[in-house]
Amino acid sequence: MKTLTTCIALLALAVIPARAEFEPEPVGIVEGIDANYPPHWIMVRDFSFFHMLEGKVLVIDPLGETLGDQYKGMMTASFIAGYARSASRNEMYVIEGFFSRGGRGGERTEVVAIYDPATLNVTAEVEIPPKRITGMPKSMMNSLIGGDRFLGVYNFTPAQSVSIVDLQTRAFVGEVNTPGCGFVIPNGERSFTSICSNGSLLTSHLNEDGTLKDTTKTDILFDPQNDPIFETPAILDGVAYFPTFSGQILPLDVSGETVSAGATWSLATNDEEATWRPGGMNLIMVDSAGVGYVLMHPEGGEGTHKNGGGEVWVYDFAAGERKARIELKNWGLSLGHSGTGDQRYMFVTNPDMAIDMYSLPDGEYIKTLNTGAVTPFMVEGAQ
Amino acid sequence: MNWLDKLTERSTRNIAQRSSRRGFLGLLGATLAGTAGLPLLPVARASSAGAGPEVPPQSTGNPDDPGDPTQCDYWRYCGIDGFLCSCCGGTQNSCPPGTEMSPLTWVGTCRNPADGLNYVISYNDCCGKSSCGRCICNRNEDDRPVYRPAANNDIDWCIGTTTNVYNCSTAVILGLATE
Repeated sequence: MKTLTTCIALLALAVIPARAEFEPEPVGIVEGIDANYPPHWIMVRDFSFFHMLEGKVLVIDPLGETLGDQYKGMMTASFIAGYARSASRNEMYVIEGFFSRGGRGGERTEVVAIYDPATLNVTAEVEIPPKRITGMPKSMMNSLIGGDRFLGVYNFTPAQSVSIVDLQTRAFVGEVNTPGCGFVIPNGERSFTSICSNGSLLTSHLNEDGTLKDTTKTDILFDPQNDPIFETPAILDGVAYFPTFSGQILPLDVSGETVSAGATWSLATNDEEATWRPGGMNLIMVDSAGVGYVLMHPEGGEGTHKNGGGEVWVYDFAAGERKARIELKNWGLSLGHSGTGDQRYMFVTNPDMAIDMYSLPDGEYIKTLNTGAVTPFMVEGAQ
Repeated sequence: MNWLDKLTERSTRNIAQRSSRRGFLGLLGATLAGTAGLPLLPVARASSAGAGPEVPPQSTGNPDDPGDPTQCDYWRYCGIDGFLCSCCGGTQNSCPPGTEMSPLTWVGTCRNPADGLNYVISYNDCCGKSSCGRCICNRNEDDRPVYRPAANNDIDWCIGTTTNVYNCSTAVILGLATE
């Protein structure tokens, strides 16, 4: 039998080259992507928590039916990297760190890697001080400032500051000290605001070249010990909506050069909901139609603020009104969204580290994406 | 509590099926640990053992310091976030060989069930080798946002050390807490 099989195989080999139409396949082909990613595509940020030097940002078409259709490519993102995208420049930024001796340390280098969306190649690198904060990621650890002109990167040594990168000249501008305050919340024409440990806010105003012009500071706006605001707001029409641990929303007007607080309001709408709390990683968001969403869990209390939730509550943030409650198919730990018009989607990272996809705003479950990401703590729209 | 029981059951089953998916355990641990009176143990045990459920528990050997330091429900870990050094070649208060303990960190307060007193716990990270990857544990009593760094466990506290590379976390008793 083995001899017969061998004979057939040899016969086949002898026949194939004789076919006139046969042409060898070329070697060395590398795929590209249309640089204008559709709005429903998502960027899956895999922080690779168990192998922190091997993180990734995946480019995924969630509507793709096959595995090949879904996965468009990836960028490497080392050491709990940050990520940002400029719409006007149509380029992407990975803020990442390297060690000269890999897992055992050595000299640390931090860079802003600038990516071409069509090739997923690094087109330039800007070195920044090796002070970037690392740990569990929060979206406001880096932000675009002044339109898309500057990128601010939160430093923690534990002295706190923000590295400013000029994205137009692709150069490091300098550090802005933010003593006692952290994060980069863009406001006004060319300013950014940091949250201070005493419950006030520090706003740093930049000159046209990205250097510090001056600063302003608010009064104490919230209780940072007994009912702190989460680090990440949802921003809509110049207002940053910050949830608090107890389930209030603190609106901050960030449209101007100085920030101001509006009246707080409660996420709960009746007494039965009084013990529900917001919780999770990226736990609040606004979709492209301006609809707000908050990840909520029942029986909340001290220490439950990272629990995630079994429901997503839907809001008109500007009016302070809840519109609906979405019961999730699986427990959720982090929220993301993509799409426009009738094609809006929510992505919920679940405890299995898979990503559940829902339609918005109705919250109908569509499917679960298994992207291969080990710890996809954040999902963002590609645009 | 049906949702939680269901979650625990399903997740424990998934752990057994996919050991490479341990990334969610800390997050799930957070889900469970914050809910008083609920059994954290099934998940915490699965997370900690690494070698299967047949691994016997261990103890400190000190009745005044009760519990298993390789388990997420050990009393000192009420605010810890990371890989437990007790599973990584160190102990609850010492680092694994070849690493370096961070001199800076955040400080929390945990109640010792042996005497009912609150103790000040320093969650020093061990640094200089890549992630241990065993016994991830996340509990958040007294944890506050990153902008309150002295009370935050999200930060990589490998600061003031030779390198920022994080390996695992300890829980060192500094003293009795005063009200």
